Amino acid sequence: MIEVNHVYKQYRKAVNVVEDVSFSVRKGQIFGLLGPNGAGKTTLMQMIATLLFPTRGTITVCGLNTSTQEREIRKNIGFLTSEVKLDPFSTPDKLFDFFGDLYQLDRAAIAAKKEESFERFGIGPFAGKKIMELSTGMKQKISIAISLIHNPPVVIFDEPTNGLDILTAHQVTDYLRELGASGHAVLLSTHIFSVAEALCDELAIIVDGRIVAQGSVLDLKENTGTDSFENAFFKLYSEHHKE
Amino acid sequence: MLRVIWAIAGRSFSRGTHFKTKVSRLTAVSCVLFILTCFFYMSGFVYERFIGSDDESGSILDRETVLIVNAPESLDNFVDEAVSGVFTNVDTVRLETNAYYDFISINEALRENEAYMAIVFSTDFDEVVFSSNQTSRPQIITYFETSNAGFKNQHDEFMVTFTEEYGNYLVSEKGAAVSEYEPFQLINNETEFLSDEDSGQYFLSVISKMVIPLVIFIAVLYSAMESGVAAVAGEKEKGTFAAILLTPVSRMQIVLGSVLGVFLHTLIPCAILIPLLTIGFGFIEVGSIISVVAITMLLCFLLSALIITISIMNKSTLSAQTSFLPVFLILLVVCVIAMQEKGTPAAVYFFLPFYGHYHGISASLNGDYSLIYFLSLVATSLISSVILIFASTRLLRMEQFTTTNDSASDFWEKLELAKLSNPKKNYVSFPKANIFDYRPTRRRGTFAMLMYHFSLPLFLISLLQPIALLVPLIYYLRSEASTKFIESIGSMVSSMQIGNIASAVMGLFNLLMQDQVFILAMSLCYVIIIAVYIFIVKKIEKNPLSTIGMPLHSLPAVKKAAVSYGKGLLLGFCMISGVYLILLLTRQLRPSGIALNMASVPLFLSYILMWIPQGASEEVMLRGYMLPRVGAKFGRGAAVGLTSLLFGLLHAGNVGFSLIALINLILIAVFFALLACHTQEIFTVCAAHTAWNFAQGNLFGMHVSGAAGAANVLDTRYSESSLDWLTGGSFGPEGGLAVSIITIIALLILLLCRHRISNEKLPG
Repeated sequence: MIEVNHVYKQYRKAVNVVEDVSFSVRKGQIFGLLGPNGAGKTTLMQMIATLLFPTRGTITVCGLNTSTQEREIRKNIGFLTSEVKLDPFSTPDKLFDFFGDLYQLDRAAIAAKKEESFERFGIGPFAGKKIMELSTGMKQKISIAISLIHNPPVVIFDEPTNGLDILTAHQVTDYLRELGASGHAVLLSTHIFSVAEALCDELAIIVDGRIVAQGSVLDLKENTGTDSFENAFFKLYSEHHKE
Repeated sequence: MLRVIWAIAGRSFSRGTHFKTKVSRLTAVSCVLFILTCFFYMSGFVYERFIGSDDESGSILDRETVLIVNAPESLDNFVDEAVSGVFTNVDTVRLETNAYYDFISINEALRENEAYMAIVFSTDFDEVVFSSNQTSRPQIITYFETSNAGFKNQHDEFMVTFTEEYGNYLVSEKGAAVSEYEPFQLINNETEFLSDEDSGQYFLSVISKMVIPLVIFIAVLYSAMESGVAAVAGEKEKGTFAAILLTPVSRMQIVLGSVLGVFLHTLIPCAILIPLLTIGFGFIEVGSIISVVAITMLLCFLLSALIITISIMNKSTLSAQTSFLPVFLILLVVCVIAMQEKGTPAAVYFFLPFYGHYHGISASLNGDYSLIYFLSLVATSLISSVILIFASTRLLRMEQFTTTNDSASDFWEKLELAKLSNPKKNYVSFPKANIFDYRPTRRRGTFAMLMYHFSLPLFLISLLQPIALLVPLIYYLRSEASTKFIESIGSMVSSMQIGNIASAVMGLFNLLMQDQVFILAMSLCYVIIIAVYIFIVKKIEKNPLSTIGMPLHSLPAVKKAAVSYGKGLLLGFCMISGVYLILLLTRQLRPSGIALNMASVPLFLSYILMWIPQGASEEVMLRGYMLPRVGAKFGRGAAVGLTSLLFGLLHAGNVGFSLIALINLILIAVFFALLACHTQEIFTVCAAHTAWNFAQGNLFGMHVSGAAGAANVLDTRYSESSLDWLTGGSFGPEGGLAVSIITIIALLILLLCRHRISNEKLPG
């Protein structure tokens, strides 16, 4: 569903933020990008979500090129990142309607989706409250629900459990697993090992904009000869990180 | 498609947008003040027109007098010999003046003598006509009132007979054949004069020209700014914009939706203001109100497109507002220019966006707005809006205007950090000259440094002085003062060569120097300059104020500053008194007694208010800020030289500027600079500067660097035998040798003192 081929990204001809990255995510797979802050995960995901354009290389989502068919791609992805925020003056109810309008869903579909998501995440009691009055966890759940309002086949979540308490985080990971099981292609970035280990079918470890290792958790442990996933990551990081 | 656009437009109403930033609060306050000022002057105008009017001049409708200016001998002979009956049925008044081209005095004379027209001869009329080898034809200029259509016919009729008969007379006197040449050239001018009967109409025309369009403009500008800035830049700031970008909505739809939202927002104040203003002032014609509404809507749409373009280019409401502010000011200036337009402007102005909207509103209220103009304005507005919308769409496709990407900004932060940690950039400074304890913290290239220090004062002065000019401009836009004012500028400019535009501007400056409003505005402008420098030092350089020679950090320091200021006042007063004394003793001046009266006391006081920040601002700019900074790089001598040169150049555009004036200004500047270095603060020189200018202008009644003051204590004139090289002529004493003498004496004393002090300090 997602094909990333030798992608480079530079900001104003300076250093490569993303350098020669290639990977693919299949239908029903949960693919994790793991790396420290500033490794280029967010940039990479924003390129896939058509917010940024690759300097070199191509990205296709559902067979569509991100540089030329952005609008079609946007219909097929649900993107969640901590940088995309909800309007603090609006209410969950209004936001559902607003994004439903933008995705040009018909009213009945919006209402159905609203009901389903409110039920699923327990948003119902807060539907009429202003976003700024809500807790971080509730905001995140609303963001997730809204990013999936159009039921996209490809789901891209940038650090979805960031800043959430353990209960909410658990709810979110459960939902992601469910999405993968129901045939969505899920691309996930995180720097939390437990999430990566528990959730991802396949992982790519990014250091300084490059993928330094790729495979399942087991593969990574084996290839590095370490006993735990955490140690595998540290070994890879110290080998590849440039000072 | 429509659904998406509506949804985006609707967002504009769902967010709390008002008074988010300091800029918007400030703009709101200044807009209200601006409108209040307008109404304040309008009320003054109303009072003058309808209540306080004691103008008893006769009705303009039945005037028959003809004013004859500089009548030549041949005209007298022509009348005496009774060759014709041209003058038998009219009263004539004779007047002699050198300024025969001066519209204003002729206009005044017309009014005083209750004449409907004036015939003006050039002073050498006979000489030229009867010269044997006549190559040029002398001019006869006529002026006639246009307020009454009858006067034009009266004038035309009279002039046809007059021209023919007088021409024939002159030709026969000269002995040339009639057919061979015309003896003179006739130029007809129209002058505007308003009778009391017209004042009601005039009042409405001022309302329709000034108040209604201006208030609409300000309201639309402000509400467009508030909502437009929140629309895209505000969404980017909140981080909600990316969510919209992620949906399958085209960029064009986003732009259209945002423009529509802002447009609807701007319509709200219009919906309140237009009925209030038009019906409130008695413009009840349906056609003109519809026309005003249509033009306002065009204006709103164009502005919405403009503000969205600006909004897209910025990442926060504050930066968007800051970018919009210059546009805001430019559009206000456009309003002021449009207000000043006399009569109906050329057709091309109706096509221009903003200018055309302004004229359109005022013209449709006056009922002389044609459909063609309206359609052309529709075309130009829509074309500009469409261009802006397409440009915005393009901008929205560019990464740099869409990313809310923190990793990108992280990247730049890292670069900055790398720069900071680069040892080369850790600039340890060893200033060449230690003035006011200033230590540079940044390395600057020679060129960059000079450019910066030379252009900053020039930039600030050339930016702020025109703004200060706006205040009296608005003030003058009422009653006949406005025509007088504009005409005096006109005659001033037309009587000068093209090369002397700077002098013409200074002439205008002199005219305004007698205006209290202007003086206070200028005073404010100097205060702002000082504030800007304090801001630069405190916030950008992060240096204490003592590095611009203004140590005010403790109570003893403040007391010391006050003492220094007092000493400086005394010094400046003594120096200029010395100059006055020299000029008196050499019999260059003719003091003619006390000129100050009760009426000019407020003006006198406002002058004092102006000279204090005026002197201080020049000192802060040059001696306070530039001297130590340039000195740290190039050494004290170079710094004193450069600041003094800039000081001289800053006054180069003034009236009567000469080489002696330049040398004198440089000498004074050198004296002030050395004095500042000597005292290690600038309070003394600030005070000396202020006292010098104040005493020179308002005590002794002389020109200050080419600027003539009003409300002087002494009335001083140059004596007939005065020598310009000694007195400085129209530049004032600063252009003459008397000042050079005093300054050189002061410089010598200062150098001697310094020498003595430094000798005393030496041990043993």
